Amino acid sequence: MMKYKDYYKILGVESNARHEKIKQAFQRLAHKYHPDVSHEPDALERFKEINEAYEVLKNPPKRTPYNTRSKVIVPYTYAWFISKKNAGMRYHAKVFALKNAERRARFLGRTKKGTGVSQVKLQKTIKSSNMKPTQKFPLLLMGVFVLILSAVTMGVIFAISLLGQKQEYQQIQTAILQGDKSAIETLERSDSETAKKILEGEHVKKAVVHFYLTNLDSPIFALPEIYGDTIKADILKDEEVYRTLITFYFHKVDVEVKTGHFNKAFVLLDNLKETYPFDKEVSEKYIALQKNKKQRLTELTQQYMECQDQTLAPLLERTHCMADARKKIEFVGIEHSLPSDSNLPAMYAEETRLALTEKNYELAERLLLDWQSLLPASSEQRDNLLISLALRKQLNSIIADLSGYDNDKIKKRLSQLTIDPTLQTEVFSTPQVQNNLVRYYLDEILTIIMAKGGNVNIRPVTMAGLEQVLMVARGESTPSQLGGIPWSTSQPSSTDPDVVSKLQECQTHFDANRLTTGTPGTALVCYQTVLEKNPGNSDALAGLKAIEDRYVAWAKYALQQNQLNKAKRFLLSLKKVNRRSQNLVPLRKRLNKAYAAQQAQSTRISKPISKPKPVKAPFSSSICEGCNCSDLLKQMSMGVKPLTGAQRNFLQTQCH
Amino acid sequence: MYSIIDIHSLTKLTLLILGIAFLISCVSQQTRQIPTEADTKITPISPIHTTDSRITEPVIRVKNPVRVENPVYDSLETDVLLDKAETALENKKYEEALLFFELAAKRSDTPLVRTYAGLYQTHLKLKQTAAAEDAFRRLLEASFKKSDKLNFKFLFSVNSSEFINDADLRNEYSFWLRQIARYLDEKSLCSHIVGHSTVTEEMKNEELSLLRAKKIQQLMEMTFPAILQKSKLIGKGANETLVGTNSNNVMDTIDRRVEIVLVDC
Repeated sequence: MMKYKDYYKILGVESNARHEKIKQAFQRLAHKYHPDVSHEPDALERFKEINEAYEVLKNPPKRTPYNTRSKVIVPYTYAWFISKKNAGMRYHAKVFALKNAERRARFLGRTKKGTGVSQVKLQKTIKSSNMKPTQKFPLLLMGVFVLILSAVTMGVIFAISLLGQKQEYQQIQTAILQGDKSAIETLERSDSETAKKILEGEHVKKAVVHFYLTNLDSPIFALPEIYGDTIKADILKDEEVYRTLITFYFHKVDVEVKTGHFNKAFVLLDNLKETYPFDKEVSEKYIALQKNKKQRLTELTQQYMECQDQTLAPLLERTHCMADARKKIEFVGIEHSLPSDSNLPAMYAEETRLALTEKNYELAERLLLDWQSLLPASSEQRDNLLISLALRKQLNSIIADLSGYDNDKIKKRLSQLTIDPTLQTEVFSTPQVQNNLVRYYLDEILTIIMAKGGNVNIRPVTMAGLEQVLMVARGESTPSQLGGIPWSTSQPSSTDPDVVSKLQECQTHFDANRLTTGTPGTALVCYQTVLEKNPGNSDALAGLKAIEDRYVAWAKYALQQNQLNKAKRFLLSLKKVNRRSQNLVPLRKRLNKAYAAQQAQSTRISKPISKPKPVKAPFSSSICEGCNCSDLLKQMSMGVKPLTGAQRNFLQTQCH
Repeated sequence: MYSIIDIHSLTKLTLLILGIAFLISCVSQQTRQIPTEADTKITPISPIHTTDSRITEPVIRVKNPVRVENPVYDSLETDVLLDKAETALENKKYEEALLFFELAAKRSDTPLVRTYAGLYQTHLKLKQTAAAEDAFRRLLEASFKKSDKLNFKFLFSVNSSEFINDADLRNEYSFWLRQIARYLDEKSLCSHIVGHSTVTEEMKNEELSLLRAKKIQQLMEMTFPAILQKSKLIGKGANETLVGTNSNNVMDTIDRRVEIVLVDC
């Protein structure tokens, strides 16, 4: 068997050395041990070995089987490390054995040079050993140790930081338990993991909820916004929290019930029900509250009816009693409309009119407000009285305007005064207003006459009237001889006593502003009845014209005040009186224009804050929330439940 | 210089530390796993076991809110229960809807079609396919018990014998048809497959409605091959419209339908 030779060792190269390195090593050693050059005793032998090694290693087809046969270990692999370790162990075992042998020899009294192990041999053994441990091995071990050490250090640091964090949490928990606001704020700012850890502390959740209960209006709703649903659920499922909330809300509900605010009590209980939807205690409380509400409603409705039946009591006393009962019922929660006395509007109107005549504007205002709160449905009569009240409050400024030289203001005030004939009479009785109005009308007449170049054919009747005016101005006649309201001529239009009494009744309706609506009758119907009995009756015709004028004036006033719905109502009434009225078209145009302007303004206001809406059917999403086309088609296809109106609407507008 | 013994000890120490670290990490991983209900169950021998319902109930209530027995539900009318269920379904509270539907299903006076339709939809939303199939089967039974005409209507696109263009609905139609075919097969039932159309569709109304009926038959044939012999195709054209606006938009979709009617074999 051929003796194994380590060619790599002979050439002094690593077993994974490249060809160039092997060649360099060969050249260097060949030069060193060439028999012609070298003086080494074994030069020839070494030279042969070098050549033999190079022959094998330079040739890959020879080198590969050699490597396989000699089990060359690639450096720094696992096998390499193991071999190095074994080599180290063998080396040290050998040294140890030699040293032992030496000690034994010394013990037996042998000399070093005798049978003992000589130092030379020992050194040779060490030197000749090809199994020296690599110098890198301990270094590597040291590296691993350093790594472990750093891992342990990091672990310790981490443990310390954890400990610190825990202490920090404990501090926050203690502060929360003491109701500290800043601690709660810290908790609110924390991420969910931290918040969870803080909340894990004993009684902390209860303290948090207690804080919100005492500092916020609706703690249960406020929680998810602050913490998110997971933390909220974590807090609310706590027994202490549940008990705290139940106690707190039940107490609040009881307080609200005691003060009669059942609506608020239900809102509170709804909050609780939303949080604990299937809780038995809450459900029982809810049922009890509903029962209690029904009882209370019955009592209050009884009270209301009793107030209404006090027909002999003063109006305000009676209505206040009714309004109080109604208010209480509203707090409890109205479930059906309350009965009302149909005479009340007429009574309010009468009382208000009386208060206006007595110039007790405060009372008139109270009456009107009372009327509005007790009977919130819109009433034309009440609106007119409100206008009258407003005008009467402006009496001084109306007199000032009518005494001035601003013809536009005079025109405006005259138009306003047609609404309230009593006020008109009162204003016109002021001397400065009379004088100024005479001047105003004369100016108007002169303007008309001058516009025609003075060539005006004035009828004799008019001339007589003008002469009468001059006579009054000169003190030769009295104003009563001129006649009062245009259609109230001194000479009755009919001699029929029925017609005359009917006309008087019509006048009463007109004066009471019962023009087209009201009880016990209206001026419109009354004059129409007169005309049926006595066609062409001039008083009735003039009366109808007066109604028309009053509606025109009201509509203009409402438009000026930008009360468009009121103006619309007046125009509808005007149409009822005279559908061919010349004022109808221009006023309607003004109204439409005002509506358009209002709409444009509202669009401008809402534009910056409004969200983009779907192009089609912007209203449908609000009507059919959560609808989607697929589900609706499926519902239709299943044929179990028919589509609702909102769903059909959604389908029509949103699905294709 | 170093001593080999020291290195050995160091290596062993290192390995020991690594081993301990590995064990600790394994244990911590184990403890971090989410405990199951069984893991967290407090047994009567546990020192923290309590029988006080005020403590135990809220925990159960939140963990599984809809499973708490509530006598209030028992007092509710079946219609109210179904209304509640349908509202919960619309509001995507499927667990709650399921509870109410199940409660309603136990009542003797429950409208079966409505209840099982709700149950089917709820199970489907909860991705409980097996339960959905079961509910659908009961729905089919209830529907045929109520009338010979199945309440399901298969909707089609305008001028076409293709289903209405809604991917979800088309998928569900395949499921419906499979179930219906299976049911007809199992019960050996015969049927008329009746197609309908609106007036203003371009094709000849009878022809189009027949094509639609044919389409349904073909789809059922895959599950129930004998349907070719056990069913008859009828094209009603626009004679039996339900909306009748003939607008050919989504509003009269129901007029472009196919129905299945049971007949004697």
